[in-house]
Amino acid sequence: MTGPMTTGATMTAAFLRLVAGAERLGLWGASLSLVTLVALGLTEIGWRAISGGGLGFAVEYTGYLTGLAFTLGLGWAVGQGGHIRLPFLLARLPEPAARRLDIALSLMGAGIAVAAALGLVAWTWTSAVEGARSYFASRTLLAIPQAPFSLGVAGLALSLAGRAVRLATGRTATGRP
Amino acid sequence: GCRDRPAGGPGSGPGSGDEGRSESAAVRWDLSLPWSPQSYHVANAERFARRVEQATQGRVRIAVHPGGVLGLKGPETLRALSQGVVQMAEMPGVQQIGTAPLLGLDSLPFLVETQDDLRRLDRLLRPALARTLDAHGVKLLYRVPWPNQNLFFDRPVADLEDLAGLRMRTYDRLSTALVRQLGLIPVQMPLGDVVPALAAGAIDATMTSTSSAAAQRLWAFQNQVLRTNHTWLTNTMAVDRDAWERLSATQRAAIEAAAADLEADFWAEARADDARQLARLVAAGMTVAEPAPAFRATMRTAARPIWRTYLAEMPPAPRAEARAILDRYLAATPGLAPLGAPGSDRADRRSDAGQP
Amino acid sequence: MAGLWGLLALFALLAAGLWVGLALIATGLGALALFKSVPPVTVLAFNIWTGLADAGLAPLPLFILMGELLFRGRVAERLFYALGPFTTWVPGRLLHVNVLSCALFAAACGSSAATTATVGRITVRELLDRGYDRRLVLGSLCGAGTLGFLIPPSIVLILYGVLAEVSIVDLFLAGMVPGALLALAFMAYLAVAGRRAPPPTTDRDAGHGPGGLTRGRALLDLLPVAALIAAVLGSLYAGLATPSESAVIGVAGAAVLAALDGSLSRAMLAEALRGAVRTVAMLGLILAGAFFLSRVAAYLGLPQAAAATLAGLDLPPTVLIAALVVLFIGLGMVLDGLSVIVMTLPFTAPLVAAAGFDALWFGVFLVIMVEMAQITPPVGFNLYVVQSLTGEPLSRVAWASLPFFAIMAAMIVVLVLVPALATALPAAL
Ligand code: NA
Ligand code: NA
Repeated sequence: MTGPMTTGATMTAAFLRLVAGAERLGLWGASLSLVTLVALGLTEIGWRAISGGGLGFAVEYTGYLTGLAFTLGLGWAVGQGGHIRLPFLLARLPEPAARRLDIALSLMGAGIAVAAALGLVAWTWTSAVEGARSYFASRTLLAIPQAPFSLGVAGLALSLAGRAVRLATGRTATGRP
Repeated sequence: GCRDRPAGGPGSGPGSGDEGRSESAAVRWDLSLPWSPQSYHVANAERFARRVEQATQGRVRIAVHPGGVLGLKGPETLRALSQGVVQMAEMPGVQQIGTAPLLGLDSLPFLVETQDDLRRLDRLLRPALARTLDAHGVKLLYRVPWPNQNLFFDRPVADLEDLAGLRMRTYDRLSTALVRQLGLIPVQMPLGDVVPALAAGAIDATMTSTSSAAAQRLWAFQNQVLRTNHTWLTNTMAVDRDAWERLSATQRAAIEAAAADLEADFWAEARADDARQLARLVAAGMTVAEPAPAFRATMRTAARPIWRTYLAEMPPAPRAEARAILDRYLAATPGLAPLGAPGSDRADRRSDAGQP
Repeated sequence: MAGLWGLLALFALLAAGLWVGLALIATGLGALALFKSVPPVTVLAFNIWTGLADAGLAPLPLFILMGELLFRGRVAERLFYALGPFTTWVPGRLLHVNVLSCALFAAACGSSAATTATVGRITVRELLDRGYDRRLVLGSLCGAGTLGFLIPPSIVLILYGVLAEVSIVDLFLAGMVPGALLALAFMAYLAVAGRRAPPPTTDRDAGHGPGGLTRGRALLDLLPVAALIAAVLGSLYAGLATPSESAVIGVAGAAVLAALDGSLSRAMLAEALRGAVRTVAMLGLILAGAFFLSRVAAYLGLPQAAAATLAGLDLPPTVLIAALVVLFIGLGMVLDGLSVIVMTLPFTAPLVAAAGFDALWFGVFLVIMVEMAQITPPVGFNLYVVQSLTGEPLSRVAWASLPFFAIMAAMIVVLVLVPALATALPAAL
């Protein structure tokens, strides 16, 4: 009788550890994107001052890195309670009802994020299959920046699902697994 | 009403499902253009939309969305179209060469210098272009050229030496390569970023068409127009094939006839707009100059290696096709030398008398 | 009809407590699925990718990182020590710091959200610690942060200039006087409202009394901030850096300042990055939703239809402007302000020109409308930035911003009465 419950609890804990790991990875990736964005800009300014010519790929890669800075941290921000909502109803409902509503909203949010992530994965997939390249001089394969970008949005879905599981298993909405 | 889809949605009633084949159901397409509403490309598109509506007795209605409001800014338009993000879009070929390299062929620098050249090349190129687009699930409707391309500076430029070290806006890989060959510093950016970049001093010089220069009021930052005509850009109006195939055969024939009928007018409009907008540039105080013959010759020589690089970077199948079209065009164009092995180029002997 | 149902659905999702960005996305997906024959999920993916992976947005994350670095260094603290002795005689005292800092920072930054986030990170904690009125602190930050659009460089003015084929240099000039007036009006309000609730004198500020020696000392404390602003502004206006590069210089400068005052460490950098990632991700999700929903509105032709309806009414000039104010406030409540300009301009620009208003004037008018949209709920980026900085509920932040919203509305009236406020400077130069 304790067998299935223990297995369930173990699986829940494992899933939440996976979510936490993905969130930390996203934080790292977004931080790295920000630092690289600064480094790329400084290199471009310096190189232009020294050689008179720019790097050539600075504008293009600034665009990709900006996109990654926006998306890679999406999941981690869920874990931090960083995304914005209007707690109009949630704050007025009694505790069990508020928790049930929050679970439903987290699942719904995860569903929306899954749709976005699936769309992006499909978009990246056709980029990869067609071998689509950027129209810039670098001819970068578009699937290369699009893949981590899509993963960032997938991370949002995962963290929202994790949030639903935390709430459903009596844990706090944010915090350690 | 805002509902334009006969099938689907609550309460759509009988007739849902087979929306395409039945002539009684109206079809509404969204057409995206990145240019400003005042552009002649948008006026052309609106005229085409009206003609299609008439020709199909109002069964096919095209909503024209200028200004890139649907999010299609130029690059990735072909992919957006083939994925069904919109049913129709107008796109500059050079910005799609990462997806379909053949779309950049007619924009190779100093390959096409007049509308007559362009028409000759277009006759050779268009069937291959239509096949290429078809492979991406997209149907070509018509093509319209841009007016002449020019270089814009904030100082008089007599010779190539005057250009060394200037930072010039370019619009794609081919123009970037040309500018680099000429000893300038290319800075590739979409049209909308040009004025901010000039205002911020991030660039010193610009390359763009006469029309775009007037639309962006470049005279606030630049006072010299050099009529290099270094490349010829052409837009392609295309429709998602899935949407196309949902039309009846009569409707398709009517739309194709409208495209064929209006295209000559659209080309004439491109030529007229060049004269109109050049007059605006002059009225705003810009000085217009033709490049000296030696300058032009240097630019032409610099262009040939770019043609080779363009061909070399293509996958084998489109490369063979592009090479064949290029060779036939070079042979048919007076004064243009054939493309030989690297280093063996004979100088082109084009007369500059025919420059518009 | 589609617009009404969409609005109802959006408000229901927001009221239920769904995250704002996801509610915008869900509304857009639903509207496309019901009313258009395009694949909604593909359109969404296309818009998220092309909307966020854009070099033009780079200053936003960069300036947010700069704000985090300054927040964790001692720059903010020193700034307030320095300003304290100089503001003792001004009604409202340090309350004016938000407006002045925003106006100054707006000259280096084209985005309102970035202006609000950077200045807010530096000022809010210091002001609240000193016991200044919470409403006035939050409201003045939200309100003054919008100056990022009116004081050049400005992405809104650039976009309008390109679309309306008006000189961007003239537009920048046209924005200057109204921008300065708006800042002065904000300060006048703070002086009046701040006098009714006089701030307590803290020991810290009293320590730097108005004596000559301390004032000299205070000026020294101002040096780091002045140098940083000079570096960011100078690189931009000297043509050494593009807008996103000047933001890079700001980040590097903030790191150098932190190193100089000994607050730079691995732990501090990690904390600054965590703070920046959190705010950037928060804005990223809402930006994705706002871009997408704005494009869906364009597919449905809703803003265009509203503007076209207005065009058909044949209103007298002042009534027309009043109607436009109502239209833009309504659209700006739920849509991205820039997108609203792009979609409605083809209809509104000829209308306004026919009514005898100058194109430069209309540009300034539109910018103030977009600024107001930044602080109207439920979709107001400055409100979100301040909510994220302070943890205050959105409703409280929105209420605090209301007086500043009213001041902007009054500014529109003044602009209608005295159009020369916008047009005189570009005409003279
Ligand atoms: Na600004
Ligand atoms: Na708003």
